Amino acid sequence: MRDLVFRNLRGRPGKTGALVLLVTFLSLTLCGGGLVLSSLRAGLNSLENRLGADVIVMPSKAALKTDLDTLFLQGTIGPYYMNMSTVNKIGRTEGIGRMTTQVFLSSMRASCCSIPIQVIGFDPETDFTVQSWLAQSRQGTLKDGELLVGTKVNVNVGESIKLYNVSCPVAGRLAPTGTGLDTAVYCNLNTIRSLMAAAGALGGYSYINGDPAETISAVYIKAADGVNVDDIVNSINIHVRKVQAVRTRSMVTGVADSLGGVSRTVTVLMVVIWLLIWVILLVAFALLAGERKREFAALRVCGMSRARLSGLVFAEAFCVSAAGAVLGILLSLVLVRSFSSLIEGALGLPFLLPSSGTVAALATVSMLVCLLAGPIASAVSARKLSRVDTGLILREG
Amino acid sequence: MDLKAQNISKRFYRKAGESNYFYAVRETDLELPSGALSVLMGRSGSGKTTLLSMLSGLLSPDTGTVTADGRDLYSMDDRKLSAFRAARISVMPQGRAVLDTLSAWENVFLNARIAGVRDESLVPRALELMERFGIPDLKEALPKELSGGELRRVMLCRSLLLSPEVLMCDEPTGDLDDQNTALVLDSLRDYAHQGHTVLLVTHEADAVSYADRLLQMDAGRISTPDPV
Repeated sequence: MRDLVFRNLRGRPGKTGALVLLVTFLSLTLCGGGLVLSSLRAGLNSLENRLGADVIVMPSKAALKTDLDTLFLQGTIGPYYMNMSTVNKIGRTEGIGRMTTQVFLSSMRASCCSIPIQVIGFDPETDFTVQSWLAQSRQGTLKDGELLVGTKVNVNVGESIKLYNVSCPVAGRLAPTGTGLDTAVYCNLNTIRSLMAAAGALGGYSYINGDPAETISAVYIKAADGVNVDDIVNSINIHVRKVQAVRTRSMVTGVADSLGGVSRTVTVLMVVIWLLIWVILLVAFALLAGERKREFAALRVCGMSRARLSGLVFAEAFCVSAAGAVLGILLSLVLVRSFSSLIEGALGLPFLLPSSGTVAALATVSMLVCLLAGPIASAVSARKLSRVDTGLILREG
Repeated sequence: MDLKAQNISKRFYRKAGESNYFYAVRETDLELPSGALSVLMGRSGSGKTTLLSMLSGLLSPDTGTVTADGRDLYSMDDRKLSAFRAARISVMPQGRAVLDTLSAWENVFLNARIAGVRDESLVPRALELMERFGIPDLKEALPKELSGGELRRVMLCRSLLLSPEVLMCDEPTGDLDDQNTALVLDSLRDYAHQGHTVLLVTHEADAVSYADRLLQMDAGRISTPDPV
């Protein structure tokens, strides 16, 4: 009877197509929604991993929390710097386990620079936030003058980027984080200082005062074991002038809160849309079954049992569901992948496509749910049809 | 195979949920012997199709029993009754009982397919039947491309393909011209005379001359049980 199932489906291309389309929407809602939620969770995890520090200290001129959000979510950096002497004062705070510095620099939309981009310089000797990430995509140390580019920077490895008329070779591409850091480039402190000097020489950075070697954008602190992080934050904010320390957890918590809200909204929408489409599918199967009453009567006249007739209806629903589920999964992968930047921008949250294992799990769950949803939607009509006396249908003429 | 109905009746409600009903068939006894063409005639609405449906195992009667070779059809569960019907009782209903997605040739094989018969010898028999009823060139045609008469002949070929012991036809000549009507009635009589049980339900006056047994139905009762 297998070929009868396919013949029935092929023989009504319009109606079969409409049913497949409905299941495609079911699958798209489930798999697409799941992918968006997983990507947001993956983005949050990535953000936590990338922050790595318990406390970040930036010049108090920077509206710190806002600037951190801007840096990590949008990849833009405020033009605020502090002196090395300030860093030394911060370093004297009790309870610090590890401390490292970073320098931020923005290139310009001008002839001196290939592209407007954020440059982040880190200290390889003390760094504990960036290098574990760099190790995922590149072995060995970064040489002076070399750059590593974020996954969204449109320059190939081996090519060079011109920054303030200094040509910097791209030594590698970093793993995606789903945050604003994906749009930045990274280099060591020597490189960024030479770039700052070049920028100063071009007169493009009037806010850089003094020696680039003495200029720092942010200090990252990891508390020593057993030390209360709030004590460090308070101590720095009280004793060190013109800087502001903030717990990174408060930033992650803020993002997590937003993520929680978005997740709830997306989940509710997913459930509502899914149920609506399922009800439409139920009605569609019922309408189609009504139309096919005579055809089913013909099969009964020819000796088909009620159980086999129901099996035929289920098999058709199963095939329709399988085709729709596969299409929906593929479509959701393409859409979420294509519009990830748009979603990230619209939600203002870190967005990182989950691992292939998670994607496979989501696809499998979506497939299974759709393979159940279609036949269940057809079950009501199948039961109703198989219970009707064939003699009555024939008598109706 | 002898088919016997005892005290069968069927009533229908004019509207669901209402007590307003009518009897399509009233306490009827009937025996269809093998080797004879039984012709059931009667006015529209006299209960002919309902009687045929009950005799063929397609519609359970409200009272009475239908037995085939001593087996009560309606005491079997649906799976067994369906298998029994597929193998031994063939019905050609009045309406358009074909699958629109299958060609005429595939529709001819529908009974065999459902009964699970995959005998190669059915192919020449199917060709011979289509040839006999004048539709050999319509093998690939879809039902929507066929006229009413052609469709009826496809259904007749299907009903005869497995050489069933019992054949019941409801208005098989409804859309046919005189020549084809004669051909069909002749074929049904021949088939009955080969030892099969054949019931023909018709309005066709010409059918009387082919009947071995003539049954007249009126207001749910067989009024002339065995006049021939």
